[in-house]
Amino acid sequence: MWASKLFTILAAASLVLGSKTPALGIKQGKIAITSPDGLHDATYPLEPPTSLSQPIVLSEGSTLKLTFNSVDKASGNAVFPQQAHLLFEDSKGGEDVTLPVSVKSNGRASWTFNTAKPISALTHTHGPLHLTLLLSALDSHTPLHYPIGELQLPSSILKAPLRRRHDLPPRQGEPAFQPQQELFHTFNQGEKSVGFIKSALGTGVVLSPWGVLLGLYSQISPKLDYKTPPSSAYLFLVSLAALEALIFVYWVGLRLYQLLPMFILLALVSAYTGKVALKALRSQSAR
Amino acid sequence: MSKSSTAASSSGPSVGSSNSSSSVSSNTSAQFQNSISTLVANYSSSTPPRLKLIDSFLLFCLLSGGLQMAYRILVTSYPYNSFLGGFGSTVGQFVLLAGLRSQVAPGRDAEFKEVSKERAFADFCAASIILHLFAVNFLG
Repeated sequence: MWASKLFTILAAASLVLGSKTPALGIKQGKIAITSPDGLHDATYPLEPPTSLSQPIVLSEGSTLKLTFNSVDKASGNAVFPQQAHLLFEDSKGGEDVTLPVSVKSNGRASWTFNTAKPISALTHTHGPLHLTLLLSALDSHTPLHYPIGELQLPSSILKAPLRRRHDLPPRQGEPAFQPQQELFHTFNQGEKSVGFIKSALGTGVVLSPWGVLLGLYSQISPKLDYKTPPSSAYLFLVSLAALEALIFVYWVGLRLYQLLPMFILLALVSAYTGKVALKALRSQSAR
Repeated sequence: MSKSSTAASSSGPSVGSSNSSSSVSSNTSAQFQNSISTLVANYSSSTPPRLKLIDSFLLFCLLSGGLQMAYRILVTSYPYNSFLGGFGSTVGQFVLLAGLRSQVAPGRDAEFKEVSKERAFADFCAASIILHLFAVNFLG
């Protein structure tokens, strides 16, 4: 109730205000049709607000040229509109198309449509189009909404309309979604296991350097003179073993930024214990 | 007797040349074998036991690195980073051991006046720890 009252007040106010605001209009407007053979040439003068009485039918190869001057309706002075568009409304329910019209600074406007090189937006329409000219210069003039008339494009340039997401299927009874190819998962073959003899031979080859080392050590060790090291040497060895253990733990689960502080700390400890131990060993060997 | 000697002398030159070439080759191989045995005997007698211990570790590193390279060439390089870590550690350890051996061997005083044997061992330990850290980094 209050909404309808508000709308009535606003409409009355716009009428009052609109009567004082100048309106946009067109002058010397015409649509010229030219064809290659000259048989379908025609010129349609435009006199807004009157629409064309007959539809404009374009043949194959013909060219449509729309020209007009954008003017102030009252004074007739040229006006450069902020927006100039042609609205093509599909009478068969397809999507509407809006195309811009080029306007020069003196208000002279022209728009050309060549059926030999059709605009792709218009080729997906269904056929008869209702043509409307829209001009606006909102800061100075009231806009112009001029229904020019009907336009029929040649069927040869029309393509199949683009299917939208929820359109009906192309053929009766055909579902919009078809069953896809069934998925078949493929798996790699299981890893082959090596035979016992081969793996035993391989293990033997891998451990052979250790065998050589142990054999040589067994030959050398009787000739080595083992002296009791000072107690500080054990600490040094323990610190070295701790460093190796830390490296192993780093390999298993630590990140570098977690390793480095502990590594530096243990390295300092090892360096100190090493210095003490080797100093003691040196003094021991000097005696 | 004379016939046999004449027969021997008549076929003398061709038999003599083959005999001389085979004797040269056998002499060469004998000399080589003698050299090897002399080298081994000198090494066994003159090298201190501690150096022999280092040498056995050197041989171990050589064999281990050689086996890893042979596997990489003959079988596969997968996983490559493990090969890099393993082979690099054997080569690095070989180099460090060779450096330690040269610094603790008899007659080292002339060349390494400022580096004592204990200092050489400490350097060897520190460098080995760093080498192991880098090798483990490659393992992934």
